[in-house]
Amino acid sequence: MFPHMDAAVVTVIMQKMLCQDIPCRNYQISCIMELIGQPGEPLPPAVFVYGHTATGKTLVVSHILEALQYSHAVVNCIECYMPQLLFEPILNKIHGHELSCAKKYVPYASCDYMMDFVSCLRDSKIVAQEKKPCIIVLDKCEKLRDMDANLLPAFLRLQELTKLNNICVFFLSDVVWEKFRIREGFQEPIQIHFPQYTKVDELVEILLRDHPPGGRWPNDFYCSYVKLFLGIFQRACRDLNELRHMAQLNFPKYCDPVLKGETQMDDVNKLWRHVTPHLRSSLAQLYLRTVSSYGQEEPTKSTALSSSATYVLSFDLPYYAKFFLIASYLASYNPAKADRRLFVKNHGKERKKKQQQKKLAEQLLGPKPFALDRLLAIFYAIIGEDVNLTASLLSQMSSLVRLQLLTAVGDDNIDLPRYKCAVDFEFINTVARTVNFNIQKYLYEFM
Amino acid sequence: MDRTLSVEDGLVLCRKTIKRKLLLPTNEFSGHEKERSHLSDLVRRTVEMGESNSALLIGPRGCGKTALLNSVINELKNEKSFHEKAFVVELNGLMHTDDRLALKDATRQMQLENAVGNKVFGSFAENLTFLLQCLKSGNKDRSKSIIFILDEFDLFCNHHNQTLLYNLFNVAQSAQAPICVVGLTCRLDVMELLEKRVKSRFSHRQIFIFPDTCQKEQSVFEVRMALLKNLLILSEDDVCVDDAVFSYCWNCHVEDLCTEEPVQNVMRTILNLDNSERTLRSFLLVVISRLSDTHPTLTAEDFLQVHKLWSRDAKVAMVEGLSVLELCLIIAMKHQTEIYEGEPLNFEMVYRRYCKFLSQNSTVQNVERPVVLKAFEHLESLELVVPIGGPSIHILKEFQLHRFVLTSQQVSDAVKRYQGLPTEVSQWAASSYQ
Repeated sequence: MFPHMDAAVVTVIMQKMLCQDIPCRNYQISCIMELIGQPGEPLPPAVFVYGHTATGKTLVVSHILEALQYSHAVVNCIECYMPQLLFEPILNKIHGHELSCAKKYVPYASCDYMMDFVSCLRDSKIVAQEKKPCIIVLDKCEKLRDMDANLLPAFLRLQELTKLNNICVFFLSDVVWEKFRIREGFQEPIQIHFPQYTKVDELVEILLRDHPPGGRWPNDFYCSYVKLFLGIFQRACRDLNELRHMAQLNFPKYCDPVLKGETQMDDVNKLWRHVTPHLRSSLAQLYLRTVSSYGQEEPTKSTALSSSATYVLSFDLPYYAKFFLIASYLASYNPAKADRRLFVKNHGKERKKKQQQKKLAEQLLGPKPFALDRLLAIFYAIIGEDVNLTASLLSQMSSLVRLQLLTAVGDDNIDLPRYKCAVDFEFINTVARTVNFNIQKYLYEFM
Repeated sequence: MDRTLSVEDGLVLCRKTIKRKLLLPTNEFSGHEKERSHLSDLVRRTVEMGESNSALLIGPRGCGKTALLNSVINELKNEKSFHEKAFVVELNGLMHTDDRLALKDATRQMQLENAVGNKVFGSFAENLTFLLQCLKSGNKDRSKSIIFILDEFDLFCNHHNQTLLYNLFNVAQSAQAPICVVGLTCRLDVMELLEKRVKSRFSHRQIFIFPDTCQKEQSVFEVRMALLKNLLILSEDDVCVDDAVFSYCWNCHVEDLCTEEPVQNVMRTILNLDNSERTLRSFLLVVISRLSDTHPTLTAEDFLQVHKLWSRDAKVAMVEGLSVLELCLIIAMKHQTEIYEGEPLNFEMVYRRYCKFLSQNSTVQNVERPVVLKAFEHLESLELVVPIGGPSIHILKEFQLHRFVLTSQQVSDAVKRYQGLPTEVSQWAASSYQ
């Protein structure tokens, strides 16, 4: 890059440029650059980089490698979920081999096993003969644990296996290293932690980079918006991806009064009063992404909250199936002992019991399995009309199971199948309302 | 161009040299004299006299099995006649995951691919015998010896029918061709893994290597400090540094550094936790990496700082980066686990406990239940809570039982170090009676 300068000077300049490009990661950048060192220095066999999502792990590592112009390969282990799919992109990228139509998408070399991969590296011109430093980056490497058992330990010892000391493997993950020791035989990598951006200044600095272009909104205006936004969102969420998304989504609302000419840009108080309810309502939808950021109409609170209701209605269950589902919910969440009290009209005198505590504890453990005959009994008790028990009626049960609203429990006992309800209260409440059934009256929980 | 080394250049060279020393151990091997001569004798007999042998090197990880074997092999390789008489075939259990692959790679290493060509073999044994036959040179009664090195030997025991091991040991025992099979493993119970017919063909020669624990005149710590000094000092053999003044200054500095109290403390702590040399080397690598123009000398502070990073609890560091909401869930889980003495928990329980806390502290921002569920799922993806029995479609995710894997000590550490935590949350973390 700078042929007339010393290698050391180049490194320093490079580091400065990187720190400018990637804010708040100075320490991590210098840490990694020190470990990699200058060309000719031996590389450590494996480096494990961990930290929360969106703390710049992949960004920092790939930027450094690009700046150094080392041959490297960054692969994502979610994308490459099989050994073959992992080896081939790595080799392609290291050797600058691009798949194209003209080459009929033939990979650099076809590798099925770790053995082939290692021998490819050993025979490789770039890596083995020219001794150029070569770095393999495995992103989301926690997925490696689900692949062949030999893969992770082999990558950790890649230097030893290939007998090339110019190879280094970077592992990036948001799971701590402790979780990787599923079996022994690991060579411990050097660990580098990427801390979360905790300080408000850091977050402001990063969010300011999303300042909308065009010069319509001055810097101060956007800055005050970001600070206000963080005040509300920072406690519930520290995921930078989500924060950026939410900041983008809500900025038009902040600008709204200015565009309409109702307020001046510097009237922060008025703007604050206007935007706070919007921010609070979008806080309720954090991570849910019910509405995409662009091109759609504004999300209102009612559409977001009713989304679960539309989900329920999308099933459009038949009348009897709805009652079956309600009956199964009652059977799952009420204890069998209480059935008599709940469903029989003249059930005798009610005795008050002090079971509050136990009741709670049972509720927390989730739905209980029940037998088909109990379900039928409850079904007839709540439907209040005479229905013939026919095969077509019972077939509703199996369709409910297929929709995964019910789950069959235990082995297939044809005579007395057992089921469990698999929907939550909100769902069943919506269903019950469509058939004008007051479910709370029949729930032990509300007694 | 003749110019003296500037300090920076000297520094870069010095860093490079020491890194090289740390990462690429030379073949000089010290200690384990008895085991070494035993192994060396075995291999030499195969190479020179055409005897067949088999042996297992057993010892814990990082105790120097591979280094020992490599030093023996390298010593032999330096002898002139070695390459005429013998081949070394190295197999690794991590790479050669089944016998077919192992044999394929062995063929490649023996450079017999051309001889094998497209031949079809009836059995594995036939294939192996063919390979060995090929090595017979013109002189009928003399065949090239082969040294088979099986690294991660225990993994070969998992292969189907242990075909490779059976055939290798069979050849060694029946003296069909001179081979020496050396296995390396860290499993002391490796003999139990062998099938009966394989075990009966093995010579039962086991060489145990244990780290030197009881040195006669020196304590373990002194040995470790000597090693440290040895690794950091620039010796005259390290050709890269030809500036005598620089290396003299450096060495004096290292000598001083090794006597400093903090450095000794750090080294003692590391030694007490892990006595393998590999750990020391990678620790020193990080320390040495800190050398730069702006930081031209090693100080005790470097050792302390790296050790601080090294010994930090990664889980606590991750918890520190969570949002307040997620930390609240962690605290709720901590209380739930403490109250029910380690019973598994599900989202409903945690949520109820969290709501209880909220109802008593109105100042904490309230968020919707789906957002809390998302936060819980995030904790699950960070593996701070682990589902019991794996995820299942038959259980609603709110009721899936999880085990909480942080200790209450870790939680309170993280709470203590968390920046900008509302006071009521930290009070809640301290006691569950709120």
